[in-house]
Formats: sequence, C-alpha cells, structure tokens
Amino acid sequence: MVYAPRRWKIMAAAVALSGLALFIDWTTPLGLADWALYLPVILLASRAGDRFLILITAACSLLALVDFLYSPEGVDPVQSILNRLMGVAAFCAIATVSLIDRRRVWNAIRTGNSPPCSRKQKDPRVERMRRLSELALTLSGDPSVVFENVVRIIGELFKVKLVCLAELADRPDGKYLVFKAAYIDGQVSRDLGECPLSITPCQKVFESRELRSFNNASALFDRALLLRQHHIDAYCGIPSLDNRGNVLAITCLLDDQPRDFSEEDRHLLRIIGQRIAVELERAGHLAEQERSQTRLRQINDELESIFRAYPDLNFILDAQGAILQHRVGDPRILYMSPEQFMGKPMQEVLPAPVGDLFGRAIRKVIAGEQLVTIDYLLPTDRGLRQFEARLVKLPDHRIAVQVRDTTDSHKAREEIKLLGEELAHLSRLGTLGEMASGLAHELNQPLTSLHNYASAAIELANRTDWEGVRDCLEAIAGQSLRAGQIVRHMRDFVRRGPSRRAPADLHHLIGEVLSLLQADLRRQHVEIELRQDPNLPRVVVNSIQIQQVLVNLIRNAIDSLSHQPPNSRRITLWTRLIDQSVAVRITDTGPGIAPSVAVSLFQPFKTTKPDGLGLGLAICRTLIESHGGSIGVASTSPGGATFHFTLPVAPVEIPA
Amino acid sequence: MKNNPDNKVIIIDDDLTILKSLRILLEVFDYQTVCFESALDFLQAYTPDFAGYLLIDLQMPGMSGVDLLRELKRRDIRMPVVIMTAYADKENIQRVIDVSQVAILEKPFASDELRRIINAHLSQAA
Repeated sequence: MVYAPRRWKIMAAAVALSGLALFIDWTTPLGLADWALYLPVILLASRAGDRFLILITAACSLLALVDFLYSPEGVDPVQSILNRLMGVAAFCAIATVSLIDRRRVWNAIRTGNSPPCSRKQKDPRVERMRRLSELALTLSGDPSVVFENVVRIIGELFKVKLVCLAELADRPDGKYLVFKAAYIDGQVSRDLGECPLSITPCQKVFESRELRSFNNASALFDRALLLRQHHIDAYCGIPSLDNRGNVLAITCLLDDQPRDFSEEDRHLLRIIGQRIAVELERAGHLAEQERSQTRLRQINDELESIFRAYPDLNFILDAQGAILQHRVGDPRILYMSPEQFMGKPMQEVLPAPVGDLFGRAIRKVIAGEQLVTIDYLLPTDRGLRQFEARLVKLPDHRIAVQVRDTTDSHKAREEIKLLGEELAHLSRLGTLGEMASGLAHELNQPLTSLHNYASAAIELANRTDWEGVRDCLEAIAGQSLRAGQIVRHMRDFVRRGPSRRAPADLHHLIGEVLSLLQADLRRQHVEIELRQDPNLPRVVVNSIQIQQVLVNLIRNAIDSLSHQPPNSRRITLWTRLIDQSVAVRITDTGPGIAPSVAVSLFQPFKTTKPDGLGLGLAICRTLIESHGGSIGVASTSPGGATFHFTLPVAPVEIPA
Repeated sequence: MKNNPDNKVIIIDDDLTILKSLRILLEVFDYQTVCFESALDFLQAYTPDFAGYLLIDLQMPGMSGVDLLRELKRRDIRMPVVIMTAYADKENIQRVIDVSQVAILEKPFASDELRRIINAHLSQAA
C-alpha cells in the first residue's frame, strides 16, 4: 500500500510551486504568474458543480486571453500568445480532470490524499470500511438475500467483473457446483444452475482447501463456459469450510484483467470465506428448522384430522381430575355440554357411581399405573350408552382420557357369541345326523330285548306262570328305561344353547358320550379303554359343549381307525389332574397325523375327509377356549394320534 | 323235546341284555340255550360233539359275526346259523352272503319269526 503524502506536504509543494512560478515570472518574460493563480480558482470551483466549473474555466480562459491584449510594450507577441494558450490548456486540463472525478479530486485535496490512479489503488480505506460493515450487517441479516448481498458487496469491494458463490453438491457423476448467487457486471442474479466442479478452477480450491488465485484462467480451464463468456483472466477462489474441514462452498472472484491480490486482500477474503461457511451452516439449520416445523404442523394437522374422524371423546385432566381440554368427535354421546364441565373435576361432573369409578382410576394413574381402563353406562342424547374410558398419564402429571362409545361393539360381540352358539348347535345337529344309523341300532338293542321279554311274558301268562311273567315285566321296565336314556341323551345333545355353566363330573359326561357312540364303536369294532383319574375334581362347564367336543374327537378317532385291522382298533381315554386343570387325552391307534396337517387342523374349513365341512375341530377349539382351556394334537409313536384338551378347575369367564 | 340235543340254540352276542332276553324267551318256548359273550369264547368252548342252532350277532367287538362264519367254514364246522343284526344294510348283508348262505334277522325281530326259522330247520333235520 502506498501511503499518501500528508496535507502540509501538498500545501508546501503548492507554496513552492507558486514561489517557483513567481520567480520564473519575475526573471523571465514567460508571464506564468496569472494562470498559476487561476488554477486554485478552478479547483475551488470544481466543488460547486459541473456548470459552475465550466463557467469559471471559461471565464479564466477569457481573462487570460484578454490579459494578452493589455500586455506591456516590447514583449514578443508570439511568446505572449503562446504563454496565454498554455495557460488556457492548463485550465481545460484541470477542469476536465475535475469533471471526470470531481469528488475524488476534491477529496484528495481536502484530506491530503493523492487521488488513486489504478483500480486497486482506488479503494480508499473509508470505502473499504463502509463495505465491510455492510458485509457484516448483511451476513447477520435475512438469510434469503444474504448470499446475493455478499456477492454484490464483494464485487463492489474488490472491483471485479464477476463474483460467484456456489455450494458443493454430490451427484452420481461427481461433485458439482450449485450456484447460489452471482454478481455480474454490477448485477446480482440467482439461479445460475450448476456445473461439474472438475472443469472449473474451483477444483484447485477444493483440492487444496485453501484460497487460490491466478491469472490466465480462461486458457487454463477452457471447458468452463462462464470463464469463456466473460473473457475471464484473473481468478481468486475462497473455500468455506465446515468445522470438520469439508468444503461447503466456494466463492470466486473473476475479472477480465490480470489481478494480483495483496496479502491483506487475501486475508480479508479468507475471513469472508469463513464467515460464509458459518452463514451456510446457519442457513442449513434454518432450513432444517423450517422443515421440522413444517413437518410438525403436518403431523399436527394429520392428528387433528384423525381425531375429527373418530367419534371418540378426548379429555385432558389435571392431577386432581379437573377437565382442562376436550375434543369431541360425536357431541350426541356427551353426558352434558362442554360449558357445564370445563374446568370441573371429572369425578363431580359425572353421576356418583361413574364419578367414583373415575376417581379411583385417576388415583391409580397418578400412582403410576400405565393404563387404566374402566367401563360404565351413561344416559346421553342417544339413550343409555355403554362407554369404555382409557386413562394414561402424560409426562407433566396431567392425564389423557379417551372415551369410546362401546355400545355397538358390545352388541356385535353378543351377536357373535349367539352366532357361535348357533353354529355349535347346527354342528351338533349335523353330527347327530351322521350318528343316526348308529343311534337307531342303539335303540334297537333295548327294543329287541323288550320284544323278547314281552313275547316270553305272554307265553308265561298263557301258562299262568305269574312268577315268570313278573321277572319278564321287571326286565321290560329296565330295558324301556335304557331306551329312554338314549333318547334323552340325543335330545340333550341337540338342545339349543345357551345353557348355563354348572359344576359337572367329566367322567359322567364321558359315559353319556360313549353311550351315544356305542353303536359306532361296535360297528367299527373299536375297543375303548378308559384310564380315568378317580380323584378328578368337578369342572364348571357347559356340559353340552364339552360333550360336543368329546363326540367330535372320539368320532374322529373312530374314523381314523377304519383302515386298521379290526383287532388293533383301540381308543384310550385318559383323564388326569394337572396343576389346576383337568386334562383329557384321546389316543387312537390309527395312522397318525402329518405335522404339516397338524398345524392347520383347528382352523375352519380344514378337513381331510372328502365329505367334511372342516368345522368340527374349529368349533371344538372355540368351545374349549371359551372355557379358558386349550386344545391340541400330537402324533403318538409308533402310529396314531393323541388329541388333548384341558379345562380349568376354577371357572374362567372368557367372552366368546 | 326238552332233552333233545337238536333242540339246542347257541346264542353269541356281546350285548348282555340281548343275550339274557333271548335265553329267557327261548327257554320259555322249551329250547335249550347256551350263551357266549363273544365269538372267541364260543370257539374256545367248541368241541366236535357240539350240536344245535347258532344264533350270532353280526356286530361284535374283536371277532365279528362274519369273522366267525369264516372261521366256522375254515374249520368245516357245519351247524345251522341265523345272523342277527341291527344294521341290515346292503353292505352288511352282502358281507354275510359272501361267506355263506344263512338266514339273517334284523333287530328287533318278532319272536315268532325266530321260532319259525329254528323250527323249520329242526323239522327238516328230523
């Protein structure tokens, strides 16, 4: 940097020049004194305005020429006129310079600084400070225009043709420069697109992560279109690094003339580069923040819509149960209007029994229970409705309550239960139909006996053997009961539900089932072996449903034995008490069940029988599970299958 | 007639009430009866001097009536036979006929019919 001479030096030089002019004027016939005095007048006039300057210059020139007319005798007129013309030329020169950069010249005179004569030297310190403070303000200002202002100020500060600020981006075919803002010939523009990093001088900056500056850039990087378009010679690139040292962006200064950036310029540019990095990160954070806020708003809107779509009631309560907020899907299921309940404790708003229920639930939630669910009935505009309320604790000791009208789903559950019972009933009817011929046989046995005894009694009566007649009649009485028993079992089996659950002796149920299946067992030559635990406790069951399960399982076992030789057709019925459950196992000596079939055996419509519906075992499972028990199947070595089920000794109520 | 060995009826049925009622009925009508609860019991008790009319239930666990018929044929035991069944369906009848031509009675049957069949054979034999 060249330091300008101080003001007193100028003044001294002016005094010296004036002295010299007077001395020359004194000793020579040149007559310089006049125009040496006019010059300061013109310089002073240059402050007032262009027109005034021209006027004063013209006046001075006229006075100088008029002065010639009054020149003393004996002076060479040629020399005199030349002298005046030189003076006029000097006025014009001074005025022209002043007109071109009047302010700069004036400033130079006022401050004592010599006017800059090259572009680099023309950057005055004040201007520079002003630009830099503007830059500082810009960088902490509105992020949407910050980069445009940055390039503009850099352009003005360093007097270059072009300034570009480009972010680095990864693309499938390598790194790209994505231009965020550019300053071209005094104009700021956005959206300059992008270009591959490797063809630009910025590649050098990226590689070195350092400020790079050189001339003759267009020739060195002839593929860079921007450089060619603007006949760029000087290039100076500044990297903006993040705190891990990665290049975020590159700002480049381009000019169509060769330039040498001083060490101070470079230092300043490095600082600007760092500041841009901070700004980029800040912009990134802001964008991120903006995105998350948008996302939050979206989620909120979505939740809001979801809440609106559900007819449920939602409340926020404080730790004492006072209603702080509410959201109502279907207002018809409200017990009272929001104005009546807002701010009041839930326990007091609702009728006493329900209020007490809420009070207990709120205490449980506050005590730390994750989720408390209560069921209750309330009169509403839609009549008496059943509700389910779910209470959860919020992090700030408030409580969120979701209230759902479960009246309709309760009805649906009841209907499903009834349908299930109807299906079981139909299944029993079907089973009985399949058993009809066997049952007919089972009835024919006592009927045959009855007929035999009756025939014998008639013959004995003819012979008046009353003793014999009495024996026969006793036998007839017994056999008729046996026939009646079978009919009663059949009727019980197909009786329509729902019959209540009652304590029952499982062995008694098994006995009745075997009497129904007697004919089938005999016809198929199947031997039944009973291995019953004599200490088996009674179970609380729906007897018909358990008999249905037993009939299904035993009939399946009988069917599985149909291809076995008659002397190895055996079904073993085990009963045992395991833990608190009564376990029943039905083992056959049939071919067994393939594991692949066993998996889906209890699913509806799975059947291995050509004429089966595949509902029998599915119904068995439903019935056993509705009693709180479980059912399963296992293959028995060396062949045969074991179906087993359990029933809890203590009654368990499970909704169907 | 009472001591006539030809007047003997051998009853084989696993159902005890049937067995008992038939025994009483036939004894009222002056037949001699011998009762077996299974075909195997009969075969074990059988000696060549056994004589009489065989009344066999078709459906019995273990050895069925048809199995017994087959066994009788194998051992060449020639005794008059009546088969009783509660399922007089085609399949069952066919299985019996396949083994031998015997009388088949469907339960419940009239006692007169039983006596008629037995007497017809006895008179034929006499």
